[in-house]
Amino acid sequence: MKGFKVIDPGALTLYQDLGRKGFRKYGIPVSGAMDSMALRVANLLVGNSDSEVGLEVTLGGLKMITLNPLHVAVTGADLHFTINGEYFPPWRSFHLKAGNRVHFKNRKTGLRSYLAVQGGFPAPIFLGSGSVFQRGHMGTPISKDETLEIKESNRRSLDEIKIPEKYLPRISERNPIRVIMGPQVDRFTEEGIRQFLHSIYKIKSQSDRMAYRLDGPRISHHGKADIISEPVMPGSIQVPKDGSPIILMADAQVTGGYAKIANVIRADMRVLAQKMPGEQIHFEAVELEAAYRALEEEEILLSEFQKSGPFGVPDPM
Amino acid sequence: MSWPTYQPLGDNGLLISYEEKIDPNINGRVRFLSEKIEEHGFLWLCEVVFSFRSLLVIYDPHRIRFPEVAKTIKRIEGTLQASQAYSPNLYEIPTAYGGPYGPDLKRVAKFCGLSPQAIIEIFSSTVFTVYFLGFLCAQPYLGGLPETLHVPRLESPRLHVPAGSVGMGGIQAGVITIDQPSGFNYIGRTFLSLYDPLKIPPTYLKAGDRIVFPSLSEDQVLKLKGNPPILKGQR
Repeated sequence: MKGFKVIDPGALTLYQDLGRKGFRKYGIPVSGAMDSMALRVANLLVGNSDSEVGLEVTLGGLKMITLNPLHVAVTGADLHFTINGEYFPPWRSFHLKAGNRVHFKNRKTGLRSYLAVQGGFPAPIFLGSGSVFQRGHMGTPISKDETLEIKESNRRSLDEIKIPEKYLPRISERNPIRVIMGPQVDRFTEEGIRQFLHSIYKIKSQSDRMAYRLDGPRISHHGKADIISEPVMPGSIQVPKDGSPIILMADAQVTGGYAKIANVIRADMRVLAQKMPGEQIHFEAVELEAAYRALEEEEILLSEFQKSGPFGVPDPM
Repeated sequence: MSWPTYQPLGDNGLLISYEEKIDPNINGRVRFLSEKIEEHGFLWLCEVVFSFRSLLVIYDPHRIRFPEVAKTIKRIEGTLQASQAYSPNLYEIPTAYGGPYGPDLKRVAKFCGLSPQAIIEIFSSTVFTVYFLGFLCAQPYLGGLPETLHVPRLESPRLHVPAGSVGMGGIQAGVITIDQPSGFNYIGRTFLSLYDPLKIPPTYLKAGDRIVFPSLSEDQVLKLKGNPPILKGQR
């Protein structure tokens, strides 16, 4: 069924799901929603499985007209989402009629908003995932005048839901970004490590879904900055010879040859995902136990909300 | 230090590192260990990624924690036999050398004190080993470059190198699978299909495979455009 007609694709709008699994050994990035928690919640709000393909709207500008009655949800950044001109904050679902104008007007807080629709989008599947990864010739951004199809859904109709405050993923304003030090922490001087943990870093404009480049006090190495290329992950913080850290993000390469001072914990990747170039961040070293706890807390929050909510778990197919 | 080492990579990775060198035996052990880990079918295992001398085990922190992963992998490592599970394939990747396809051929020849023809002869008769597929889009990292062809990488990388470019940098050789920036010295080009996002897996090559880059004319190489690497048997 026809879902939306795209009037303006905005700065960057991409199909994303929870990523490509099992192909990193062939050099294929994971990709997937930068703020995976936001996409999962958007999907649950419309009765989809949490891994369904949604739209990742970066910065805003996306303008579309609905071509059929649709049940949609908007989560993540507040990009001044409007329906027929009326503003709605994110983290809720909506019943839209055919002919509604939806518009992510401009950025208020955060950077990436997610739009899920009941049934999901039939995005082209590459290596088992609908996530767009342009450099690897896997899909393209949403473009002007495109008609977005929607998969038919025979799920029960759900109410419009607004996520109660207490279940809202505590987003964006969290600072510092928590990291696990290593594995090449011994490649850095004491002063370099001190700089890394006690300085403010600014996200440079040359930052995208592949990596965030940071500007700030240089992190000095003992000897060489280069290592024999080894596996890296989204969250890995590489420091090349110039001493400026690079945080790898969802579309990151799978191997890299720069020493890694630390890795961002899973639970804080979505915090980074909502940071704009120009914004400042700083880091805090934590132990593995604290990282696991943070991840667990998010899952507990999500499952409590699922149990409490009127929408329950997705219907069996 | 005693190798291998077992370190956390963030809160869902275990990085296993062997001696700090690029060596076929070490790489063989890394590949073999990765196969063995995958064979177990652990439910907590998300993916295994490896490179020259390191292996990353990505686990699901909702199912298992680092100390348990490390213990399990150490046990598997300790029981590894020397033998290789996978018998590698030998492939030919016909390549057009020099001219517009090999912008660095003359400079490489000068650096090595040889003629361009001699460079082509040495390179095209070398049997390379795929150490791993990495970086982006199934890029093979090749070992086996003869010492006479060890040429430093460019001081400043080119911003755009076309897919299919064949070349070398330092002790490594490679062929790139998508257009990208690169600091390698490129001496030739192939038009074979080395990366296909519609195919599962997205490449014909596998770590451990052997590759030769025979020299063919531009016409012949262009005629093979889009074909898979030519299987010449097992090695």
